[in-house]
Amino acid sequence: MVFSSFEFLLWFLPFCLIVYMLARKKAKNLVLLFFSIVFYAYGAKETPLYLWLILLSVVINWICGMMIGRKDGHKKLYLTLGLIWDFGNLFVFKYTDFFVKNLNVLPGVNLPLTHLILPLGISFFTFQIASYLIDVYRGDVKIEYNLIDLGTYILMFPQLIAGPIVRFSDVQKELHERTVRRNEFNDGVQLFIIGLGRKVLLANTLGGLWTDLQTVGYDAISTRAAILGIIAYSMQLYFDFSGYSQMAIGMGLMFGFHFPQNFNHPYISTTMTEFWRRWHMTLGTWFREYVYIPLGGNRKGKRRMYLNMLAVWTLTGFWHGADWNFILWGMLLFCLIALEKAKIGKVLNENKWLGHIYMLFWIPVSWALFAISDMKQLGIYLAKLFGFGGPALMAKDYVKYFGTYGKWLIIGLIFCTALPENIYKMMKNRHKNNLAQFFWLLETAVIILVSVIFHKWLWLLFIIPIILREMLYTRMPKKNRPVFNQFFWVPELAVILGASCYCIYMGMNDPFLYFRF
Amino acid sequence: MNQTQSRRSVLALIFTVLFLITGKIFIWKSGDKAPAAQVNDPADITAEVALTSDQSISVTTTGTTTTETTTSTTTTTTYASGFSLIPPDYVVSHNPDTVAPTESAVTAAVTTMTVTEATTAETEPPETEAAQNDSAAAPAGYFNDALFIGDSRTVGIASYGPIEGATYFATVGLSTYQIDTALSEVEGTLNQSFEYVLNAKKYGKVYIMLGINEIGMDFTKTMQNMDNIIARIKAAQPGVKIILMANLHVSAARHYSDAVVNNTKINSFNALLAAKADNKTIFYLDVNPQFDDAEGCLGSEYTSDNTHPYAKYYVTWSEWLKTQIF
Repeated sequence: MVFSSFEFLLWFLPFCLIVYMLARKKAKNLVLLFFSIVFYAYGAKETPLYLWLILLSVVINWICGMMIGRKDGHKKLYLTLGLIWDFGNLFVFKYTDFFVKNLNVLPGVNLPLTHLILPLGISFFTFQIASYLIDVYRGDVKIEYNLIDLGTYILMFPQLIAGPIVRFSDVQKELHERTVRRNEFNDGVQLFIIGLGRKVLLANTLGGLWTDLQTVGYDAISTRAAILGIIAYSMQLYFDFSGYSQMAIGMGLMFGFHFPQNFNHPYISTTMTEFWRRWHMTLGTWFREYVYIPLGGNRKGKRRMYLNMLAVWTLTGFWHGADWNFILWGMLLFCLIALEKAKIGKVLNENKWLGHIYMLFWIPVSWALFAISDMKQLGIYLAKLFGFGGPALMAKDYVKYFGTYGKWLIIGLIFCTALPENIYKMMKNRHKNNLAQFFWLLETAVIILVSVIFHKWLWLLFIIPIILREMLYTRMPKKNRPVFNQFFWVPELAVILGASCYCIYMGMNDPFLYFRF
Repeated sequence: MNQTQSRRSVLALIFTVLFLITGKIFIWKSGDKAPAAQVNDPADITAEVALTSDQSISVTTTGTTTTETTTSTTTTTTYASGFSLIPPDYVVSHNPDTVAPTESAVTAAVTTMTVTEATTAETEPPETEAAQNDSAAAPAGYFNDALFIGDSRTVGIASYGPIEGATYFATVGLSTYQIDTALSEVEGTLNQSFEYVLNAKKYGKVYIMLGINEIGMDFTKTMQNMDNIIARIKAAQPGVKIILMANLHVSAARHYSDAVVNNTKINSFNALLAAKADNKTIFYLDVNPQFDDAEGCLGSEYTSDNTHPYAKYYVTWSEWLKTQIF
C-alpha cells in the first residue's frame, strides 16, 4: 500500500489516527505496531511468508540485543550472529540473482536463477535493525527489553518501506515517552499533504516524459529530447523520493515522533560532496557512522581515506540496486567526490556559479547511470545526450515534449530551489514579517496570470478564499494572529490535496519509483 | 477519569474491529487489482518500468475543452493497474466483472472467430515473410487519398514512420466512444475534429485502427460505434474503401498480467472487426503476424511498455503497410 493511494488515505490512515488517539498512553505503541503489521501484511499479501520473515527478524534482533547486553563476554558473537542474519537476508533476497547471473557468464557454470521477490522495504529495515544492534554493542543506546517497543521502532509504517532511515538513537526517547502537540500535529498534516502533492502532482507528471522516451526507444530520440528527458527524470526522482520522505516525516509528527530530515534541497548544491549531504541524508549518515568511520575514516592517512571512500560509495551504489549500472554509478560518485576532496572542491565552493554549472552537468549524467540498467541502452542514451547518437526519427520531437512537459519542468525547477519552502515558513510567521503583508497580492496576480495563460477561468474562484483570509487577518485582534498563521495554508493545501486525489482517482498515480527493490 | 479512559479504550477497540472489517471488504473488493507494490527481481526491472509506463499513450482526454488540457492529460503517466487503456470517463465503473463483454458479445466473438479465419484466409495476402518480400510496394501516390484513423499506435506511425501523402486523424487514447470529442494531435491535422478531417478532402481509402482503449468496454456497444463510424465515412466519402486494421497485440508480460488488456480480448475484438469485412468496400488487415512471437504476443524485443512498439518499428510497420494494396 503506497501512501498515495486511496486505500491508505481513506481507510488506513484515518482509522489508524482515530484508534491511536483513543488508545491509552501505554497502549499507543501496541496500536502503532498492530497497524504497521497490517500495513506490511497488506503490502506482502502476494507473499505472506515475508510477513513472518520480518516478524522473525524483529524477534531475533530483540534476542541478540539482549544477549549483547549480558556481561558474559560473548558480545561480539551475538552482534555477529545478528548482523549475519540481517545482512544475510538482504543478500539472499536482493543480490543472489545478480551474482548467479554474473557467475553464469563464466564457462562451465550454469546456476539456476532464484527469481526471489524482494520483501517490502528490506533495504530499509535491515539498515535500521543493524543500527540498533551496533549501537547497543557500542553502548550508545540502552537495550530495548520490550519487544513491542522494538517492533514498533522497526516496523513503524511511515518509514517502513522507503525511509527515512531512522536510527534507534533518534527515536528511543520518543518510543517510551511522547506527546502529540496540537501545532505539531498540524505541521504534520501540512507536511504530509505537501509531500503527497510533490509525489502525485510533480513527480508523476514529470515521470511521463521519461516514460515516453522509454516507449519511443532511446535510439529514436534527438539530443535535445534526451536532455529534456534526463532533466525530467532527475526532477521526478527528487520529488518522488523527497515527497515520500516528507509524508513519512509528517506522519511521524502526527504520532509524536520527530524523524530526521532526509532532504535539504539537494539540487542547489555546488559540489557532489554537498549534494550527498543534502540528498537522502539519513543514508549518508548511516554509511558514515557504520562504514566510513569504523573503517578508519580520514584518520589513517590519505591513501586509506580514499580507499574508505571507495568502499562507502561502491556500497551506496550497490545498495540502490543489484546491477552493474548502480555500481558504476557509485564509482562515478566516488571519482567526483574524491576529485573534489583532492582538488576542485575549494574552487567550486568559492565560485558558486561555477559549482552550479558543474552540478547541472553531473546531476543529470549521474542519474542517467542510475536510471538505465541495460549497459547497451545506457551507451545509446549517453551517446544521444552528448550528440553522438545519430539523427532522431522525428526531427522536432523535443518541441512536442517541451510543449507537453515544459510548464511542469518550469514548476519543477522552482520547487527544486528553497524558495517555496522559504515562502511557506515566512507566511507561517507572517506576524513577524512586514514583507509578507504583500504576499496575497502576489498570489492573486499569479492566479490571474495562470488562469489567463491556460484558459482555466474556474481557477479564478481561488482568489475568493485568499481575499477572505486577508480580510479575516486584518480584522482580527493582534494576539490571535500567530495562531491564525499556523493555519495560513489551509486553502492552498486543500487545493493540493484535492488535485492529488483527483490525479490518484484518474489513475495517474505511479508506484514509488526511486527504489526498484 | 478512569471511567472515561476505559470508555475510550472500548471505543478504540470498536474502531479497530471496524478497521479490520472495512479492510476485509476493501481488500476483497480491490482483489488482485492492487499490484504488488514492488517488483523486485532485477530481471523484472524492465518489466516494472514497462508496467508503469504503458500509460503515456493511453490516458485519454476527458473533457477536451481546451488544447492545453488535452496535451497535459494525455501524456501523464498513470498507475500500472492495467486499466490504463480505458478512458478515464469509464474508469469509475471499471472492474473486471462489470466490464467483461456481455455474453452475447463473447459468443459472437467465438462464432465469428471461425468465420474470421476463413475470411482472412481468402482476403489477405499471405503474411509470411517470403510473401511479404514478394508483394509489390504501393505505387507512388497510392496513399495520397488515404486517411488513417487511430489511437496512440497510429500517432506512432504518423510521428515516426510517416507514410508519404497520407492524412491522419489520430490522438493518444482515441476510442470509438470519443471520436467526436477528441481532436487530432498529429501534424497536418492538429486540433482538427473527426468531422472536419473526414470532410476536408476526397479519400479513396480510410484505415481504422481503434479498439484497444475500449477493450474493457462492452463489445456490442463498441461494435455499434464502429458501425456508425463506418456508415458516416461511407456517407461522407462515397465509393471509399474502408480498411479495418487489427489492434496490435500486447507483449506476453502484459498479456499474462493484465486482466483487461490482454491478447485474448484483443483477438476476440479483432475477430469482430474481421467479421465486418466484405472484401468489396470493407477490408480487414492484420499486422500482428509481423510483430508476434511464437506465443502470438507482441515480441518483447519490439517494446518497452508491452503495448507500443519502439519508434523504429513504426518504420517497419509503415513499410509493411505500403505493401498492402487494396
